[in-house]
Amino acid sequence: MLQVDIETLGEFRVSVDHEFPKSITAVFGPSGSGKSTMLRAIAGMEPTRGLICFDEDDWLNTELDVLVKPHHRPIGYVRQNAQLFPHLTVHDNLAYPVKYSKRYPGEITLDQVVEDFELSLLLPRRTHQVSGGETQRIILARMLLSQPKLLLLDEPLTGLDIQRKAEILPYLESLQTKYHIPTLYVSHAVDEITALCPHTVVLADGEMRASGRTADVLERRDLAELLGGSDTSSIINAKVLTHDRQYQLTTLEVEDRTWSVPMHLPLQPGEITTLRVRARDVSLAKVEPKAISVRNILPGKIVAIEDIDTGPSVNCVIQSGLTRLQAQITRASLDQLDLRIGDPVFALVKSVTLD
Amino acid sequence: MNPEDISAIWITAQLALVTTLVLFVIGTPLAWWLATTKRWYKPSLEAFTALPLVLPPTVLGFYLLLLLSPNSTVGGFFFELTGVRLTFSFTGLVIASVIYSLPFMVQPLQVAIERVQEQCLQDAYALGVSKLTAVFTAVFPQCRRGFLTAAVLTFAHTVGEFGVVLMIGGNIPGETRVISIAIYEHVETISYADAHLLAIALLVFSFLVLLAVFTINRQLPLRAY
Repeated sequence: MLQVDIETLGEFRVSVDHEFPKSITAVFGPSGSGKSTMLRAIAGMEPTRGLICFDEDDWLNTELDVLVKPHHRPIGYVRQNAQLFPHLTVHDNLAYPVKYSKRYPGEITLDQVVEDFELSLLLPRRTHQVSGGETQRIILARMLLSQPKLLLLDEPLTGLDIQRKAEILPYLESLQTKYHIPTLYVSHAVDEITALCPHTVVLADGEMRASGRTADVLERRDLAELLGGSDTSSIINAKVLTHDRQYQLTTLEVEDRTWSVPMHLPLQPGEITTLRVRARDVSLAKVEPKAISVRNILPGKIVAIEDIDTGPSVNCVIQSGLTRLQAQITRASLDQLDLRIGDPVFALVKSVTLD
Repeated sequence: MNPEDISAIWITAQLALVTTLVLFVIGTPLAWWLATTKRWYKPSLEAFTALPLVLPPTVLGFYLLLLLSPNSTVGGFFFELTGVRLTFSFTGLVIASVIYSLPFMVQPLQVAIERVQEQCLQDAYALGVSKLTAVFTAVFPQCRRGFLTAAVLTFAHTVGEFGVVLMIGGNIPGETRVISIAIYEHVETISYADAHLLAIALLVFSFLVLLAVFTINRQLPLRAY
């Protein structure tokens, strides 16, 4: 649906040749990797050469001398630290694209976004009278009123604390579930990406290093440095069974075994959720450990052993049924336990992150 | 107050008002251009715009006199076209004041526009709004403090002008004699009482205008400039 092959003329060169799928794609990478520049180029706000094609329409085609002006591209672009117009009230901010946008009218109405983003009480306020999280909701709603066909979100949650983030995430999810608008989502927060984005592309130094299903991309060892140093993680699907209020634990089902994780009440029993397990939080044992405080143990076998640079550790990939889990252990342990590819092992998980 | 002084006040007010309106029309696009251009000659134009701030009014007045006199190309052409002399006339005063007060209109506007235009325009484009619409519905409204400051400073500065007016306009009662010239005249003829009256009026007026600007700037519910 979106095809991008561009070089920007500014200080950065971003060369990405990729057909983005029709859902939320995370654009991930270290700062300075060209994520924002790419988004700005797609939005038409960065001098660029090359090809940008959306749903068969060329927005940029240097060879054919095609350049569509930014306000004629059906995008919803939220830049970093985006702001509302300070001279207008919340209502008038929302009404701004309704009144002046070349793309209005369309299917999305003011009443609809006010309801979906729960803004009715905020409408008469001035922009300095709403909180950071509320501002973000208004910005998303205003963006939708310009009837975009493609959303470009540049770190929309940066600068918000964890609680505010948790408040906004459902609204971001609704962009996909209710409005079905394909989205590029720039972030360097793994938890946001795993929660929101089924697909991920990784940018570094202005080039695309990887793309694919988020779970697959985040597990790749060769990207560990780009993805945040030794914080390599595995993504595991789990089914919620029960909440144990006495011990403050939530019980989950992972591959026929039950896991306990710190209680997270928003999860409903029966719901499928994803867990993120950092490789360094996983230990290995050759025999099933008894009488041990670790509660989450997964049997499997070693399918790969990968070096981590020249450091003291190695990374073992454990396959357990359909689940893949990575464990970071020292070379010394690897040799003492005489672990080899194909050996059956038990993975001991010390902590998990719920998304 | 004698009728001649009242007419001086009236002429001053007219001059300041017309000058402000003309500069509003000329200064806004100029300020926009200076705020947004990336051309190499921008600093030269900025320096040129700021010249009246540093030049003695006599220098400006001298060159304007040469330029506008009916014996010169420009002044002569205008005289043949309209029959109006540009020197020692109200029209000439307006032209001189526009040039003299130019930086007072352009600089506050340029600062205000520079502060908001880039992000503001991009936000508007992203909402599907064209440049012209965005300028008038988003950028200018966010610059309203800048517009207010620029207009008031231009008006007040024109009211307080002396040197250029004297060189270009002279001292013709009812035509070019403004308050500052009238005060000078009263002092020369040692009628200190009349000088006091006008001087105090100008002092109080200037203070009230500036007070109004600072008060309004405080109360405008705007975080942007």
